[in-house]
Amino acid sequence: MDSAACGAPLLIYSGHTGRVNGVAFDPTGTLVASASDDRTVHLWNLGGERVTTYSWHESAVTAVTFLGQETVVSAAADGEVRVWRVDEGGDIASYELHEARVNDLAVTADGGLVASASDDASVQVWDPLSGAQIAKYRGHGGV
Amino acid sequence: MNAVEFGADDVTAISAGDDQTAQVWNRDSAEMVRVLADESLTQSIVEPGTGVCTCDTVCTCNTVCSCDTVSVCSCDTVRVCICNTVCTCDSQGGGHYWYPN
Repeated sequence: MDSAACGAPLLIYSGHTGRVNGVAFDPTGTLVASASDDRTVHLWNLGGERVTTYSWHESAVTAVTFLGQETVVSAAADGEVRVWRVDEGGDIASYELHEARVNDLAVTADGGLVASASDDASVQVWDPLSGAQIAKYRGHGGV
Repeated sequence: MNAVEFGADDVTAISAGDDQTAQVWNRDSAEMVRVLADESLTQSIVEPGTGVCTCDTVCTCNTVCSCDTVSVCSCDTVRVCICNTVCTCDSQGGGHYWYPN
């Protein structure tokens, strides 16, 4: 039995100095992004080497996901969401969409829309290129 | 909200909240489609027959209130609560949600 089949880790990515809140594979399965309370997102290759560190958030990074192969979306405890390029590590855009911590992100299959779920009791669906809000859902009795 | 995911149909999204439900809604219009909740939970929090709802409870129209302050609610055409208005839809009675299709 190989290590994956028996549940043992194939690699351990170590480098964050705070709790890790989210991880994501890129669409090709060759890069891993990790989001942390240390306000950074690390990108790793499958060899366990850190490719880059993105440190533009001003509060804990709470969620991360890939938008295609070259772009990452990350969200933070201050409600801000940032869209940035893998190769440059630089911002494409930052959006102050929520009034409280963002807990989760999702991307449509075509990468055209992003959804963000927040402690402000809303989910927003938005265009990652413009930041334009497509829909705002406030269910769950306001929680 | 704690989690969100898009549906594979390009129409719906689903979210998870501290109210112990998952809710399916239209991705573009944000209209609720369905509430997924444990039946025993819904039985315990529905109070039928009063004609009003507060926003941390369940409307007697048998839908989940979507606002975050205490108020009286009415329901729209798919019987989703509209806050700060008088309830205008009939109570469906019983302790069950009414799920719009």
